[in-house]
Amino acid sequence: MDLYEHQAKAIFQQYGIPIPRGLVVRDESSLQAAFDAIGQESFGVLKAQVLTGGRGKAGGIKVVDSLPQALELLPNILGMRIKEFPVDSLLVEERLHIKNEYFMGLTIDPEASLPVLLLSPRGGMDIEEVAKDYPSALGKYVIHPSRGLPSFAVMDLARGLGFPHRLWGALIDIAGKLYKAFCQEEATLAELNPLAETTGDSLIAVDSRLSVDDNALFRHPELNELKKGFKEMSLKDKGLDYIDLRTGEVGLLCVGAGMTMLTMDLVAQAGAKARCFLDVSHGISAEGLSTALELLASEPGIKCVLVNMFGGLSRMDEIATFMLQAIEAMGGRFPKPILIRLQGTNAEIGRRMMMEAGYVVSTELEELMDNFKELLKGTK
Amino acid sequence: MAIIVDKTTRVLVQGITGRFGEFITRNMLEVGTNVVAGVTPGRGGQAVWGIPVYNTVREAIEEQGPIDASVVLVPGPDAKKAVLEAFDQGIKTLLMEVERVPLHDALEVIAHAKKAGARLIGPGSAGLVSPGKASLGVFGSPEELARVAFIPGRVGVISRSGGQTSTLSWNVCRAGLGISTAINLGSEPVLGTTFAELLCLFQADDETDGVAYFGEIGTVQEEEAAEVIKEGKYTKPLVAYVAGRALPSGLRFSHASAIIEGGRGTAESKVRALKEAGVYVADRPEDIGPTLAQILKRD
Repeated sequence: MDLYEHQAKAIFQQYGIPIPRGLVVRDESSLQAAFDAIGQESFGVLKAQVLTGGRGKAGGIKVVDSLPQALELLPNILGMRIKEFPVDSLLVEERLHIKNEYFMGLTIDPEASLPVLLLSPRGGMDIEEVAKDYPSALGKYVIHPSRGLPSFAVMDLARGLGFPHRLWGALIDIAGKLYKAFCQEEATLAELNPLAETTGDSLIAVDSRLSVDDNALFRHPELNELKKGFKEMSLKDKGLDYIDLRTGEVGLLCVGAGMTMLTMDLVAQAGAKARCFLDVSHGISAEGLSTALELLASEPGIKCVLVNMFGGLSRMDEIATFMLQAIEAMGGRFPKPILIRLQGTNAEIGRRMMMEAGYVVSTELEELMDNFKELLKGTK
Repeated sequence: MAIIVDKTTRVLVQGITGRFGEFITRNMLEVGTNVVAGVTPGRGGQAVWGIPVYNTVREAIEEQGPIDASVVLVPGPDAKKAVLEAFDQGIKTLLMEVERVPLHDALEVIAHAKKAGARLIGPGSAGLVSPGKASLGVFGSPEELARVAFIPGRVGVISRSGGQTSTLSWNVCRAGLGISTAINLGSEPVLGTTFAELLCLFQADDETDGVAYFGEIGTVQEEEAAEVIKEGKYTKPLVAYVAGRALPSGLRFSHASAIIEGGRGTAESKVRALKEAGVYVADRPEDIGPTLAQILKRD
């Protein structure tokens, strides 16, 4: 689960990582409160809260001098979409006098299967290009959990990357706190970028990101609370792995991540585009399938739906029963064109049930895709 | 012998009781696997399909003798404990079937396996089967499916996706070939046994002539494998498909993970790396079996 900047910062602050003063703002009245909290002299930076990169380049960050100026800009930012993500909240923060921008991050090194600390003196928006074009400007240290993150390792990195000596202490301190947060919150990613140097040799996390492990939320009641704000997470609780791709027109309902990806590829080969990734392999239940079908029916971007089910352990007659029950509850007829493939245990019974209810049903994947191409011809 | 398991491998099932444990155990017995014991804490003294159940791994070994391999079906937060218990008792091959394992738990069991010099398959691996010999996990059964999808033969099948493991095996068999071992790598972002390591095992296996592979976007499995092939550690034919080409790559949220993957992880990167290593990358997964059949006939 990717957290919003303000959520990540609130957690990092608990671990003692320095962050700017700020408040979350969703409307005009709370902007006044933020102005009062930050103080007139250092007011303020408005930052759109979205779960995607490239926010600054898209105009989602504005520096303002006064409350009237902020009030004028507020509706523009609150109404905007950044890479198809609607903005419904801002983080209003104090304006800092930044001398230098650095990068510090913790993630998993997939080859070592261990956490890795990343550090660079060239932080900011283009850090990925820096890593590619100037690999020597990026330091890595693979962490063995039994030893933790020793201060000498951070010092060696800082020294090797040419960080001024006066910052070594702060880097060691913040890296230690970031690693502690990474472990205790069971993060998959913790990132401070830029980690900025302001006047007075101190470091502060001007922007930060935190992703926590969906599969470990049961051990973290506070993080579990946060997930209510994310549609993907409430679906996951019902066994549905869902990603809204925000473009495309075809809704998918498949069993297994591999099958879902394959179906997306085939949709693309047929000349269309999947709107979502929806894997129901953990949600073969009346509730799971009705939630999935309701989602596909109600999402306005989805023009038609492909159901691709293949399974040994799950019974296809049961799946057909659940689907027909769900459709019955939705008014008796699925409101969009829907093509269904059922293959596997008791598939014949399942197919007959769906066919008798008047739906187009296939056995093989090729047959499903042929039907899909026919459907595309009819709609174009 | 086949890679990883054979007829003589003495297998334990941790989490043997309950609907899932019974289902998996029956599948393994149908394949002919030498399942010698099961463990469910508090259920010692019971039996599942005639297999005696013990309270702990140690008790199972005391009563039944040495165990070569264990299948861990224990769900949730107890999965990690079950894996560590098996390693502590000296079991050297372990299949962790459980999905949605917390990442930090997965890191811990992988580190532990390395320290113990044991082979961990998964987390999130649906299983492996060497048809006619033995299996760990779900594959190779029921018989109707095995007759068409798990015919004994000389092709290794590796899949990132559990569901696609059977489909790919069936595709290989339909092309007139048979399976030496079919294995699902597992669904988690970090894995105990990688695609590259399996290629090395199939290279050393004189009962395997070539490998069919179903890959996916994400992780660096395919790029690592390409390196192993370039280094000459795997020289047999390999035909692959990488799923997820249609997924947009702009879904990324963080810099750190993008940097550490360094552009790997995307479908383009995987297809390019595999092609550069001389792997035949199919445009459609159903072409894998026929293509491999052609290559093997030519060789």
